[in-house]
Amino acid sequence: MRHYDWLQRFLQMVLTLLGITVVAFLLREAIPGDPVEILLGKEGLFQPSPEEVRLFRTRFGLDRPLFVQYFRWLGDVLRGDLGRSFVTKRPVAQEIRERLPATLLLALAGFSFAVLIGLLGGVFLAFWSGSIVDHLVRVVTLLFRSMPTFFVAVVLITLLGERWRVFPTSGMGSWRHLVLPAVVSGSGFGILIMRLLRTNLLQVLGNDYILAARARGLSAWKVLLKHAFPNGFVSVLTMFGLYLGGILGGSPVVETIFAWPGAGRLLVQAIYGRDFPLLQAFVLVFGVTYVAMQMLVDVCYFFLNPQVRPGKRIV
Amino acid sequence: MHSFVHRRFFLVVLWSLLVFLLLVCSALAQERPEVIIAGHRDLVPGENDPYYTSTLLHVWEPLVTRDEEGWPAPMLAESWEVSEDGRVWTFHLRRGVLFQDLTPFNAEAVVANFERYRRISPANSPFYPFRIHETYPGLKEVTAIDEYTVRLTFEEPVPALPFLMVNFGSAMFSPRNFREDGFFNGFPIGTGPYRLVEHKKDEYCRLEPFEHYWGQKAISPIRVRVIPQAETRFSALKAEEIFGVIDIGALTPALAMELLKDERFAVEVSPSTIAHYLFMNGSRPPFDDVRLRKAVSLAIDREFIVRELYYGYGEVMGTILSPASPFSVPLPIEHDLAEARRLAKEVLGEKRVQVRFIFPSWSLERYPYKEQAEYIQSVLRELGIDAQIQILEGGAFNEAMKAGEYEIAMRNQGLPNAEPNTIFTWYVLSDGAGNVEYHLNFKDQEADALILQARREMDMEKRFQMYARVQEIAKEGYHWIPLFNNVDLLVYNKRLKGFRSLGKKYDVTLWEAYLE
Repeated sequence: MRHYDWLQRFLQMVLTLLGITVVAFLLREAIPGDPVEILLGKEGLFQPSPEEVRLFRTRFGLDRPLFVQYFRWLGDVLRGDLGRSFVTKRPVAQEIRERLPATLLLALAGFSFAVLIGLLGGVFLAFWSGSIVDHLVRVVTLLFRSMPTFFVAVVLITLLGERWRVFPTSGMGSWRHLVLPAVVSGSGFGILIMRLLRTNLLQVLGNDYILAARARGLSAWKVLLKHAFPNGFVSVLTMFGLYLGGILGGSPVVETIFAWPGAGRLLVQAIYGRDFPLLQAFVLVFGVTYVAMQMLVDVCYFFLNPQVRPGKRIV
Repeated sequence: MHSFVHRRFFLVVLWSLLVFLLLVCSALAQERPEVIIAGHRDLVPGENDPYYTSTLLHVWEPLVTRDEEGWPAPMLAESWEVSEDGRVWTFHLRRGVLFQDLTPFNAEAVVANFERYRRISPANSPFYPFRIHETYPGLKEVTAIDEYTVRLTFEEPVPALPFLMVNFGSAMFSPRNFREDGFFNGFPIGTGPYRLVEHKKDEYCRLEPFEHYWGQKAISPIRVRVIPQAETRFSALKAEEIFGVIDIGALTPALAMELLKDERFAVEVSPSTIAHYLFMNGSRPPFDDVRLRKAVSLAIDREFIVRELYYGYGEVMGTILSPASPFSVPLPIEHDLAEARRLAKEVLGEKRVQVRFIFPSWSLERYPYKEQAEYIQSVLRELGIDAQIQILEGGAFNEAMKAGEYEIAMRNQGLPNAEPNTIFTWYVLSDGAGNVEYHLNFKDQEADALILQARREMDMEKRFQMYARVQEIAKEGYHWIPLFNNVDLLVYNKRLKGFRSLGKKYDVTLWEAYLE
């Protein structure tokens, strides 16, 4: 039975990935603006001749029927060739590869910050539930969470970068350059984890087995961390999966504001420039990563709680 | 005894003097600290770009540049002359110039560069696309007459060739710098005062002075950072992480004014080739009627826009040709709301009309276009025109203009080169690409004849008169309404010395810049 469940899951994943490739490819039809005009023209200064347009379309295979283009592109992708950027004419894989480390670094730093404040804050608030501190922290975090990312970024840059010069305002260099963008990037998610974990822990703490553990003489902290936390953490793990799944998207807003040279900024440039090979590659890579992360989360679920299996009903 | 003491004293003084001199020499010999400036985009598109870097970085130089009045001026070509029939141009090259790989700049190198132009054309660039048939129309042959003389032969007369060649039209690189396809095989090797020594895409580039430069040598190494957001550039200036800004849209007027309240900062005003216009859809009502287009033009107070929204930084225009061009004529700037109302009433009567007023979202990063549009919307209301403002993403904006799905479009427009025929052909010629594509629907036989005739006119004075007449005719068409010419506000920290604008050369003196 177990093997069949995993096979089913794997087939679902393959179908999802195929669907992603179709969506990625059809982007060019959905987004307004002809890439040929945008790339060959220049703000009304130059109009490409019909011959130039024809040559461009032939060179990039845009003159073929759509389904031919799709299968040709899919074949290239399966061979590891993501095509060439319309704008830079460099291999798309190279463009993304050069930017990924910066995005991964920022994402992991943001994630670490989020996990730190999320887990510590969630446990702390659950332990001190009902106190003034609990209420105060929840109001402040709600306020923080309701502010747009760019606003938080500008405030931090102004205060900690410009006025007090504690951290650099922008760019990538030493660990100090990483702090502000990581805080902006991870704070929203961290607050989400904090509040979710607090809620989950309070629910779990109301169960009879917790009362029994306390009756056996275990300390409150031990009950919280050893018995309540593993059960309360399971749904938080799903959130991790969602966050990590989107990790490759970077955060275009954060990367642009902090002049962080990551994949998110490259994605924004690709959208404005209608650089479809790059856009398609991004959608594909994001999609594959997302699906892979969800698979990883499922595996983690299984190890955390073997009763949880794909397709299995828990009576 | 006394002589011994005197000798000791003299030796001590001598040694102290020597040590002092050594310290002074050491301080003088130390390299200048790196000057760090920033722009909103990467000025180094790379090896698959026809120029590799922007002209602003002074890594490469052209044969022909622009003087501070906007006229073609010598650079790597010291002088030139043209045959009577306008088909043969002879360029005399500057002597004693070395490329940054220490190979000589000479006629052979120029010929190699022109061969390269043929191989790479057409080539796209975030600066100016390179099209050899547009910059060098009908080029037949490029010949080295001697080591420092090059001859260009054309099929048809090209009277305005130097105007077409300015800057991006005649970039020169070492012939060893090209791949087989004509693009670059490594960092660019030009003749400029700076060498590109490091480049991290979308992060920064580093320039080092070229010690064998033929002209005034650069003082300091430069780092040009890429900071896309204007607000972040503002903060970086305040935090003294950067000491100046560069390139178009360096800072919005509001942010520049805010910085100038801080006594640490000053501003260099750099005239731009970019001007702001309203494009009027003349192919359908209500703006198929020239009277209503004229009413719109008369109703707008351009001085108000420049004064209130751009803090006085801008040059109002009455002509369609930017004052950046030496052929621009100062036509009267009209603002007459009463006459505007009269004309609108003549066309619309008591009716009110709804129009779609569009502009691209990317312009918001550089200009106060939202406020500008709202002001124009308010004056149009007085004419019986209810404008619905729509901010469209760049691609969607272009699509809307091409589909004619607008009545008024607001956008900036630059000059592709110093030859106004290019821009007139686009927007004034009856079958001009821009005129037709954007549904401006402007048709005038006299203007058409003048534009075509000017392409062959060798007499500069006659060409000037022809272009002046074209501007007068176009002004009366009101299909492409000029608002004002832009200026770039290059705010810098006063510790940065030698950083100044070069007027209509559209350049700053990077090579003179150093940190105090």
